[in-house]
Amino acid sequence: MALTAKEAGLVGCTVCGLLAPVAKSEGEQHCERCGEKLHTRHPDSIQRTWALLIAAIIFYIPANLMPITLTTALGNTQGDTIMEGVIYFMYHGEWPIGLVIFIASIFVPICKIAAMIYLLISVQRQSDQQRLNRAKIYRIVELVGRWSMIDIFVVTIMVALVQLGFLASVQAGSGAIFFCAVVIITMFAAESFDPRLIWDKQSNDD
Amino acid sequence: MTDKQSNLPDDYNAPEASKKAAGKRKFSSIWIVPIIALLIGLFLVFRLVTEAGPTITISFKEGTGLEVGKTKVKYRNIEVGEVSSIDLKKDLSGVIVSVEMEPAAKSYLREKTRFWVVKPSVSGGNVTGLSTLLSGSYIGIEPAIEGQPKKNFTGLERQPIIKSADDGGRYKLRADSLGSLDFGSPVYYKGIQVGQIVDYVLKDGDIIFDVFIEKPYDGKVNAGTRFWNVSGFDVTLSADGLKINTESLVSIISGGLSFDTPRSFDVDNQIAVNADTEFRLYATKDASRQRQFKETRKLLLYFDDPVRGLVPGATVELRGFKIGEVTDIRLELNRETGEFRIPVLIEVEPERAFVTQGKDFDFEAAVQKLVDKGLRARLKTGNLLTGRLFVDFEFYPDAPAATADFSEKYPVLPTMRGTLGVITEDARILVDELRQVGQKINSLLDSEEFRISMANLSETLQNVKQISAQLDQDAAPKITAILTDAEATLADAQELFASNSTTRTEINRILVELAEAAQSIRLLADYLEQNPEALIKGKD
Repeated sequence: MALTAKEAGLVGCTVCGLLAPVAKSEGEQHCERCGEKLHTRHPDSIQRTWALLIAAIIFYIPANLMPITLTTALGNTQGDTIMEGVIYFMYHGEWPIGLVIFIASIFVPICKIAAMIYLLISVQRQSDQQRLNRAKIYRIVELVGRWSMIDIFVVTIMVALVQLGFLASVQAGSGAIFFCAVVIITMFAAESFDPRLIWDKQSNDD
Repeated sequence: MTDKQSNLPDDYNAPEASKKAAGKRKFSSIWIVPIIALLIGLFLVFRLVTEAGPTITISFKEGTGLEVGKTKVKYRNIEVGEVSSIDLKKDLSGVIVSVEMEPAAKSYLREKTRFWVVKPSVSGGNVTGLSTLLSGSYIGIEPAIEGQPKKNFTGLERQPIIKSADDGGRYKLRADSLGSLDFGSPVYYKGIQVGQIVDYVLKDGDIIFDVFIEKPYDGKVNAGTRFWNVSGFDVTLSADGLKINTESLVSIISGGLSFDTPRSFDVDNQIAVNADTEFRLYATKDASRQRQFKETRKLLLYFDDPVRGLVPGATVELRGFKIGEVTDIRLELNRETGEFRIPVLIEVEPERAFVTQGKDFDFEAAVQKLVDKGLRARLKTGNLLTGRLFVDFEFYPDAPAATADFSEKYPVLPTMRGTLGVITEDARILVDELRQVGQKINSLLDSEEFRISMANLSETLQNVKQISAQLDQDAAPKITAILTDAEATLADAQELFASNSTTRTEINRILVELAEAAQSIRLLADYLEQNPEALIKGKD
């Protein structure tokens, strides 16, 4: 396979794409064209990603156990977790909506976290298996990340719209905050992961 | 984010080194994020653990209206818990509801704490749980501070009427039957609703009501207080006319109680009562007005009179005062003599009569003394229309001596024939005597003497007739002559006094002169009286 820039003693600017020879120590070299700091690889990429991922996993627990919405209908307040909402819709025959919520709020975050763990472990083990697929996975993870916010989006709209006083009102539950945190932190985790690490060992193995 | 890392002291001198350092050697400050996450997580767990109240189970017969995560436990309309799971009992005889209570609930989850499901219900005059129509059922709780802590409860099937002791008093009433009373039936005091029936149980064949009376009306209850049923209306047809009594429209439909303390000789009125005091619940207000007696004595009376019209419940009176009632009547045949007698069992309340009895009161001696004085029981007609009889005790000092018999199971008191029996007896005697008289007259008429005397009588009458005929013949002419003479004499006399006769004129003149003479004499007398000296001196 092709030579990586790093192996060739070069460093690419992530902003303007200018290649420069590695001249200074990591983090001190700047792009000659746009002034962006140059790194051969994101510094502490794996450590940072792990840290953020663990934080996301921790937050994922309350995000699913605590109510994401507090619905007050006729004076009776009821908190619903994400899973209760999914079950509610499924149970009442609205299975497409239930499915959308399930995929966006439960399936995708779990997949994302699992994918990130897989990527991290495979990079740390310097595995040379499935590199192309792993790169695809990373791309999907990065792409899909923000769409997990659809849940929070729905909750915010509901809170804004359904304010009918005693008859019905919706408030965001504490679960929403944690869910939001999970989405944001996984996005940062995906960001901090340097996909170039996937390819690093390839040349050595060749 | 990545840029931050560049400021840190680094040992990224070589690309090779940098890769290893990123993985192992240096801890990035980004680890603060998961640490914060962990702290938040731990805080949540900590809060969950510390703030989680006790989880209790309540068993109900039905799970109607209960939903996991939705159904709340409420006290005074404040949430104190939430249903966390509902399961069937293992033997399928009911449901077990697990409830997560608030941490503070620990203090009042005791043995006496009660739970029930609040559902909308319309009963009698009450509509309860209306709010649950919209918000769904909830579990009501009556906290209890006393007793041992408890975790597993049995739910009540219906909502109790919760009243804490601070709000009033609870009293127990004993009644023969439930009637139209129910949970929540109102209790009235002078027409004001002051309480409710909180509960009732069947005990020893009687209904024991648990009645709650609010402050300050609970102060009106004392040992002399009478409770009576005001359900429906009380129609009395008496000599005063038709009387309809009712407490309120609600009580007509749903029943109710009323209470009051009658003014009486009793001194109970000042005696306070505690919760264990059991009152009687009277059927009507009038019944409640009768004095209440704790002690009753059963007495046996043997009557010879027919007892048609005497029923159990008939009154027993002493000089017009009710002292008890008839409880049983039977017919007994004495096989040896072949005679019937009717034992009547009566129940009297000696306290009615013996007001000032002490503890060492000797009932038998007292009764014997009364019997010696002539106390006898009789049957009397209480109502001429219905023919109802009652037992009347009265003193008959002339009655044949008798004694009260205390040897049998019940004391036997002597009786007398009742008024009806006496009248019947008297009438019979009268008829007998009349018949005897008639027979005697018949025999007299048939006798020889009578015929002879009758013949004599007719002879005598004949004689009398003859005598009168003779008188007619002999005496009549003489009498006629006498009458004629007398007539002539009268005519003379008449002539003498006629208006134009001289004799009469003379007499008139004499009378006038006499009158004048009398006048003169009076004048003289008057003058002499005023001037007595005139007798000597002469008139001036």
